[in-house]
Amino acid sequence: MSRSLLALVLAGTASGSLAACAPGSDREPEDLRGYLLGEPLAKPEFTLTSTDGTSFDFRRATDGFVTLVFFGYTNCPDICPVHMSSLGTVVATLDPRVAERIKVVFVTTDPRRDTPAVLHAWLDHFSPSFIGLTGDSTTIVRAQESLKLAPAVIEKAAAGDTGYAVGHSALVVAFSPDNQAHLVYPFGTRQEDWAHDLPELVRQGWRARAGAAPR
Amino acid sequence: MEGEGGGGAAVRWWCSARLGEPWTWQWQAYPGVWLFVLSLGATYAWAVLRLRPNGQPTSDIAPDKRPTSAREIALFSLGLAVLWAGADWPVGVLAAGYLLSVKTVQYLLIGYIGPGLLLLGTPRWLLRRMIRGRVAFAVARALTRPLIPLAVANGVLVATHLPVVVDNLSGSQLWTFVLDLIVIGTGFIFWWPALGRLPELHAMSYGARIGYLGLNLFLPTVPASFFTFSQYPIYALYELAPRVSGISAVADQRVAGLLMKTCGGALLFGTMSVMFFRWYRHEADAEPEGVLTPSAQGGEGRRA
Repeated sequence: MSRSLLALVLAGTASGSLAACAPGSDREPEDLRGYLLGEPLAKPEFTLTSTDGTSFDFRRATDGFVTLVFFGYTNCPDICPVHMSSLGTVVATLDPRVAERIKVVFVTTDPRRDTPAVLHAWLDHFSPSFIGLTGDSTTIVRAQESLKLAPAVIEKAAAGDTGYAVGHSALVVAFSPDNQAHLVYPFGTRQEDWAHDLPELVRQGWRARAGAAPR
Repeated sequence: MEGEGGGGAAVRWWCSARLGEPWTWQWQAYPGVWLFVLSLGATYAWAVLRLRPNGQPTSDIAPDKRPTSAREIALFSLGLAVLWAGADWPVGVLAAGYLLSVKTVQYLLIGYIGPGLLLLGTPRWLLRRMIRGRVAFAVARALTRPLIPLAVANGVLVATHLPVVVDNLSGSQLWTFVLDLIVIGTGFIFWWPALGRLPELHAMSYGARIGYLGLNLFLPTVPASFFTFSQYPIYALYELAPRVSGISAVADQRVAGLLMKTCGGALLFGTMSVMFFRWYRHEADAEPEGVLTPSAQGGEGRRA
């Protein structure tokens, strides 16, 4: 993503409700490494197209799972492949009973280039279990807005130019089994951080974390 | 150094990590690297052309009579080429901020192969001139004893691979330059006792040199094992760098561990083998003629 676009997206994100989650702010609970949201986010309802071409009801298909949602695009040169590679590596090393309770959902912010087939091939490079979603731009923008993320910005490109960049949020939004997102993970989250938090979220959930309810 | 990690407008003179910038195969100039290599080459050329063991100019001596052999010049030139390849684009940039496996290759090039070739390519008379001073001679003498080079070489290997060093200093051109110089300098210290270029410094026997290299064969196994067997990436720098050719950070780290072990091991083992055969030849040459040795079959004796 170009730096100007990234700055724009980060600025938009910071002005939203995620402002309280900037690095350096208080993390709750102490033993998790993601950044706590000021107010938990309810899992939104939207339906997009999965990589096999079928309709994917996000809310229903991920109900009760630890769900990691990320908005990006397959031509992204930096943030998207690093996030997906980190998650792919960590999910592959987790106890299968833990891993099967985690859904990683990648929603493209570049539906023009990211067809289901393109998404499928790209995500398979990281993990065959990852879910790729595409669809119309309006639904994708609404989905981002429902998670308080600044909508992605597509760089202006000449007609027929397929080398454009897309500015997008670098946050991975993490839903607990209670279908609420309490945590987000910025770019820079290490694999060992994921490996620490994901089993916790699967085994403990959020409600079970006595005294750790979001304040 | 400021602003080095960011935009491409800043002048880059040494290969450091281009933090956050996607890797590109587009060639980039690093004039500091060229200047460094050219300085070394020019100094050597000046010394070889203008100096001779007794300090008189060599301009009036026929080329085939000069005290520096063509083989030495070739070895030194090869050493310079290896240093240049290891420090310049693309190896230098990939090593500094994208791939740990390339950093390992770079370490082998500028920390082992290059300095070894440069040392072999420096004529003995020139080495003697370089250590004429009392302090320089004392240092050279101390470094001939294997424990200090062993400790320095392996200490630098470990120190330059500490996550706190790699993650925090690789974005700075100055620090990368300093670290590269330390690695190159350590290469000379490492090879000094092993190559035993100056017999008057009480160079080690062939057997001791082989033992010294054998120890160095063993010690780098520790960091190599960390690279190979760590479940997750050790360095944030390489883990969070834009991917190159789709290779994952963990796969890259494992390749780095294998390279350190196999290529580093092959280099040292190859050197040990050469030394062993030289040792054998040396012993054979020293053996007096006409000595009878028993045959393997225990029959008639044969002449050695």
